[in-house]
Amino acid sequence: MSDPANQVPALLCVDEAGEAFLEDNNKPTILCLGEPQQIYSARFRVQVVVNMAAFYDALGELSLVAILLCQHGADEALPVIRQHSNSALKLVFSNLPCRFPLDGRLPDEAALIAALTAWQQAYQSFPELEKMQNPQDHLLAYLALRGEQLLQPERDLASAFSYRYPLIELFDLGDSLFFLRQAVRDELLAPVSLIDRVRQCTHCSHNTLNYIDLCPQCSSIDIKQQSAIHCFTCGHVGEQQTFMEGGRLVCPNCSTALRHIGTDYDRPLENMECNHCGAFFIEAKVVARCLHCDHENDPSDLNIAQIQSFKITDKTKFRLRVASDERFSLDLGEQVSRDYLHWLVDWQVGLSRRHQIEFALLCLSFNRVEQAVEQLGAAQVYRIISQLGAQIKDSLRVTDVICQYQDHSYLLLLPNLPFDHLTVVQQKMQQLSSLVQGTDALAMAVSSFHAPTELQEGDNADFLLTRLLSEVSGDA
Amino acid sequence: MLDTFNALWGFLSQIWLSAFIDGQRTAFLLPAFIFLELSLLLVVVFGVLNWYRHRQAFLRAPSTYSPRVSVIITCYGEGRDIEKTILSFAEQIYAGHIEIIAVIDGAKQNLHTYQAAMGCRRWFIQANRNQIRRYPNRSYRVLPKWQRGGRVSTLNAGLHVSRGDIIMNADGDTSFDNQTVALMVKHFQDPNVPAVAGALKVRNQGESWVTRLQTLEYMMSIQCAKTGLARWNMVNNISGAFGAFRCDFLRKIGGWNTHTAEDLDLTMRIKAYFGRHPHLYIPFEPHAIGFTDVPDTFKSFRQQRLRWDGDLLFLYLRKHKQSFRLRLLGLKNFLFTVIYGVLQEVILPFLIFLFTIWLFVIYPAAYVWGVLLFVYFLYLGQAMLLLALYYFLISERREQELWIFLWSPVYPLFAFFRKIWSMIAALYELLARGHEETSMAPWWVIKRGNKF
Repeated sequence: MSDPANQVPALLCVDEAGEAFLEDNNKPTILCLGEPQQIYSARFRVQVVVNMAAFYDALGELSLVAILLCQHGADEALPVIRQHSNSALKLVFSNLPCRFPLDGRLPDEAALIAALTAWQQAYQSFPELEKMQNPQDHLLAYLALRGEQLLQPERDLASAFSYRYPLIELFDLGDSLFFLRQAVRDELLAPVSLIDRVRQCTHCSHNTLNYIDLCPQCSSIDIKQQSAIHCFTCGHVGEQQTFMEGGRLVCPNCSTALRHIGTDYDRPLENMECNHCGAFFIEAKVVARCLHCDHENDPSDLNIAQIQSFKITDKTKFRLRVASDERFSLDLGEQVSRDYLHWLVDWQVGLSRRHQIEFALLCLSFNRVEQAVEQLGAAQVYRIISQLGAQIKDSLRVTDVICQYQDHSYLLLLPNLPFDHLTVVQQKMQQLSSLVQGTDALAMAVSSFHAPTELQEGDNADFLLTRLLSEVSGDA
Repeated sequence: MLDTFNALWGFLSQIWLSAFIDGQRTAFLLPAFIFLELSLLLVVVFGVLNWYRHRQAFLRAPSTYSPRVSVIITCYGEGRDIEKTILSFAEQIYAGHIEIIAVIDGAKQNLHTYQAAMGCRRWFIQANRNQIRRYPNRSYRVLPKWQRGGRVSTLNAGLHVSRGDIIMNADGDTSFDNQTVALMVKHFQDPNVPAVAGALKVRNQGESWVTRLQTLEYMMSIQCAKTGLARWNMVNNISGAFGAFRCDFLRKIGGWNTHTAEDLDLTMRIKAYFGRHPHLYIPFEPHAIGFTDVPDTFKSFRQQRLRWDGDLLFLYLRKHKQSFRLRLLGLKNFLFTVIYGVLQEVILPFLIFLFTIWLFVIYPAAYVWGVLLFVYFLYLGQAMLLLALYYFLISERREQELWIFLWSPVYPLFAFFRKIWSMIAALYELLARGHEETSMAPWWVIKRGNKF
């Protein structure tokens, strides 16, 4: 990906003799940490660096196409490579063992060229990649570029849930499970297969649990299995040893000789005894004690983490192809965050209950944006959306609160709006499709809520917003 | 009431007085009792006393002998009753290993019994590695014989697969006290003991008057009589419901033999070594007790005894008549078998019957009734003596058995009926070869056995 327009200062290279030299940088560059065993033709510029600091500096090289890790330090170098915006998506090869996924062993020239060609083709089909800056997009792009590679977990006993997702660590995306939950909710990743199910402490989320059986009466761990005898004459229950008397069974309580099973005595079902409180019981209480925080969990209460592998969704591919979240967003003026919207709705609901304040919630959603882009092309869709945005903006008041709740769903909080006014607003929204040509292709849907007319006992922001969204998405 | 009693007493004293004066007549009245019953009674009484004298020494003798014991449980149509038997062996207080083998004869027809036996396996297996075994020293296997082969084939099949040093046979409807195995094995410490006879009591005692009277009968004829007889090494029978054998001895004499009354047959065959090996000894253990269900109606009781008494005659007088030799049995057992087996069990019933008829023919009825009353008291005395011996010297459940004395006045009548009935059984066997109608084996097995 050399770009002649973007000349960067020449880098210092070291040849076999150890002399520094300058070289022209128009050729695709292969950056090597350490001396590679392979010899590549003059089509490539092979830049060999042995010093880590110099290696990190060299990552900014724009003509960089591939990185070869030939000396120890791959574990350290790879996260830096992936978190550097220039090299985040580049091919990295190494023969050395590495904690993180690589693109393979050091290739010969032919293999390298094949790999580079495939990578280039993929890269060109996602024209928006260059603009991407945040690590989450880098991860998604990384997976997309490698032929929709799966995001796979790997066994790691040091981890709290015994697995880790090396790619998530590599791109420094924080807590893996949290990230994955968010990504699945945003439909960026979709689970492919369930690999394992791990139970975790409810207190510290570690999965190093020890299952112990305890006395159900006093919760002492000091319990034992024993064979007990129940005397029919006096009802005494005790350990068999206490009944033994010179080769006979004699009840220690009433001194009756117990000769015949079923007539004189039997075996009680309780065959466990607590050494601490002396209780007899049938089944011990089992708890899962966390070896990390000593918290005692009821085994049926434990958190269950599903360890899955993930793939990128069509929506992700669309985002990588068209990138611009903003371009297909309605420009409705200043927006609030989701959390703030939740807070505001709760507040309005509270006011409405107490003072009969009127407000309305309006949900707008475009359900077929991706398909419309395929059909009409990005420019056309962009035009439609900007026209729609202008129309909607005209009909809003300054005091209305706007939130882009999901990629193509908008929630509008219209305070102090009487119910008959809401119907007017709804009519306006429905007229939009006749005003702006091509709106039908986007499959616009509208749903609304008015308080206090529709307010039910127990309604809250979470419930109302979820209901409105499900109505417009056509699920309900 | 008192008048009647006085009149009766006066009447009786007259008879006894005349009996004393007219000695000849009395001597004619009582030969059967004196020579047969009394001689046996004396043997038993002194045997029990002698047993009692040595009992504590026997129990206290230290023992580390605990060989592997195989228990062959013969099951047929008992259904879930066999669970009690199996459980009672699992519960034994015995340091050694007990191998419990439930052999089910005709498991195809007796599917219910087979399923019950299979269900018992859960007591002996570990559900998981961490569970302690409920019976660590016991093993259990079910041996189904799909085709019915009879009792003897069941026992021999069990003997074939058993791996113990001591073999015990037990009926599927008999459950055992938890000291049984330990007490039985203790006798085998003496290398001269080839077999031990076990005691039987009635499990369904309280069910009817028939079972109550049989309880008394078992106490006298098993607990008491066998204790006394075995003391002199003259035990009459090792019961088929419960006995123990030294395995190599049992295999050497070929296990059980076909035909009915296989238990008495085996006892006779063991005894046939007594003449050549006078040191051999078959003890009886009155405290190793199996509780068995006896017939609870008078009709089923009669049927059972018709079989048993007929079989006795078949065995002594047909199958084993060649065994009645001094050289085989030794003097003591020869005499005993002749007196007990032939005279008392076979000839005496005829004598008593004919004697009673003869009395009625010759003497006036009132006199005859008086004589019979006299005989009644004679037998009552015998019964009381044996019951007292049993109760005070042998019984291990004294607190539960005092009621037997209440029932003892009825017993002589029951015994009289037994005698008459045993004569009918003998006639049936002699004239109709009753033993061939046994229900203990199917006809195709009986047909192939030797005819006697």
